[in-house]
Amino acid sequence: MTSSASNKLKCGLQRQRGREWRESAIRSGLLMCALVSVLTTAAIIGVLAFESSTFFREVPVTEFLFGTRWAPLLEPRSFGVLPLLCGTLLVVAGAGLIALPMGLGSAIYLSEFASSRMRTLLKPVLEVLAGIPTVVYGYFALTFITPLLQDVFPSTEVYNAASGAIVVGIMVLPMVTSLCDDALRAVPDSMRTAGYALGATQFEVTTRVLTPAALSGILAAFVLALSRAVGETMAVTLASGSTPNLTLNPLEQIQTMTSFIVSISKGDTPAGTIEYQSLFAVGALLFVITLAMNVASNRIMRRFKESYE
Amino acid sequence: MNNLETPVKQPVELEAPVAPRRRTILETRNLNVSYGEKAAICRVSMEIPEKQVTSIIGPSGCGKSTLLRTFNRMNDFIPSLKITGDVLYQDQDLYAPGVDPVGVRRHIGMVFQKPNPFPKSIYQNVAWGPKLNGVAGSGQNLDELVESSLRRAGLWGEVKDRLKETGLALSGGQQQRLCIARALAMQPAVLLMDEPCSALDPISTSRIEDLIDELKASYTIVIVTHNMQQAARVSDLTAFLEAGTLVEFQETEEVFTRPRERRTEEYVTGRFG
Repeated sequence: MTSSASNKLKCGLQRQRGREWRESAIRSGLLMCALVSVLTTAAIIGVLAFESSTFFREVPVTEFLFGTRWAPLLEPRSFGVLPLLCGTLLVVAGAGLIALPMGLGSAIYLSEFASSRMRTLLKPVLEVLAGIPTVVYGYFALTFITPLLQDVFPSTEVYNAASGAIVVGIMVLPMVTSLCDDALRAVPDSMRTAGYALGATQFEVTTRVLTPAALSGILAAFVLALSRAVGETMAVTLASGSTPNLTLNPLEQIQTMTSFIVSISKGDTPAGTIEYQSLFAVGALLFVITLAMNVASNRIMRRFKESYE
Repeated sequence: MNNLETPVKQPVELEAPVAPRRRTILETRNLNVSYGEKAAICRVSMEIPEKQVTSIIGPSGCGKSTLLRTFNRMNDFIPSLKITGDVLYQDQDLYAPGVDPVGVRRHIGMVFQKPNPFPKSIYQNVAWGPKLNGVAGSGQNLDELVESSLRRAGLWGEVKDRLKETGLALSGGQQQRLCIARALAMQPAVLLMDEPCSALDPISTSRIEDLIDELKASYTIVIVTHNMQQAARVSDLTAFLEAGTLVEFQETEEVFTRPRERRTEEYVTGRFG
């Protein structure tokens, strides 16, 4: 190799020290950002596992899962989580009853029937609905929905499951709508033209082509919405009360898992006591339920993505 | 038959054989179509005979697809679309007030450029239309209709053992034949085809072309194609469209060998387009 050639190599192609250092600094900085969320998740899971394991050393898992009385503060103490689970179930079922059909309906309207002007009008309204703080929803339930319910059903208690369920339903409605809308719009236009060319009406195309084709996306949206309803806290605490109650009557006061966590957390429960640890056991159960639902929703979504490729 | 009757002698044809004048099934009269301000079809008048293959050729953007879609009102979904003039199907105006576009599409089927089977089973794809309008009901009648439609589309042999599998698992050419079967299951009188082979390989294309040839015994076919050889191979009549006007419309052989118009000649000989 001649000396001039090697010189050229040096100035043109040699690595620059400074740049390399900068690149690696940026890379590790970004890695740190990513690690923060991973580590936080790991830490939370660790704490949940550790604290609830000490809890389960004193209270057998079977008693926790199948016991029908929840009284962590009152003697005789009892740690059967079923009343809380039942309260959560009441709220989630009620919310689902409202949000799922209405959400799907409005998604179908938005994606198939609404003119583009109507769409540009309605979409921001939905986003506003999604942006209202949950505590405002809770207040709205207490001061508006509950009196309304009491007018219709005089036996309604001041705090009741139905009011919480309704308001949580309204709360997750924008999410159901927007996810179902995405799923319906992801169905290729060629499916619509195929349906119309076979002499289908717009309604038939919607119900017999689009909805089945988007079904996985729609189901995933449903599961995700229910999972959010399970974890919803503030509105339910305000609207549905804080009395553990193994009931299926939506007009009675209940306590959900989340509102139990709120009521203990804001009290002066000393760390290390069994009632303090019960917080983590309930938290762990809540985590397992929502995690399972989110995984299920992801699975369904993935199946949906494959179907057109 | 009565044996005592003397057999009627067939009259001897002295003149050169002339194809019987076929009945017109689709007709446009002074048709104008525009998207907003932009005119797509200008004063097109043509008569499409029954049980023949009519191809529409012309350069890109000349309005071939627009013209085809006026025949089954698939243009209705474009809000800015304006149509004047008449489109007659068996002497009824398809755009007269009171005509239901849904009903029109049940008589006049359509196959698209890209195969578009539903993400359902092969059986359900074919049964979809008949189930919708309740012609075949269900059970055995429907099974028979599905089979006969798949047979007509030349697909039965390949799929008879896997009717429950998804239609999306088929090859492109098979999917297109499935779409043809799906359209035939509606028992239409007319089948519109919008460049049905442009997304297919040569072998699948020739299968579809053979199929078109078989289908014209029972159906009127109008096909839009980019491919002039295809028009020459499959069609009885050819319409040459340029910039929304009908330049020439006559027997395919004439169009390709002795075109009346110079513009047609330039197009079919490949001097432009």
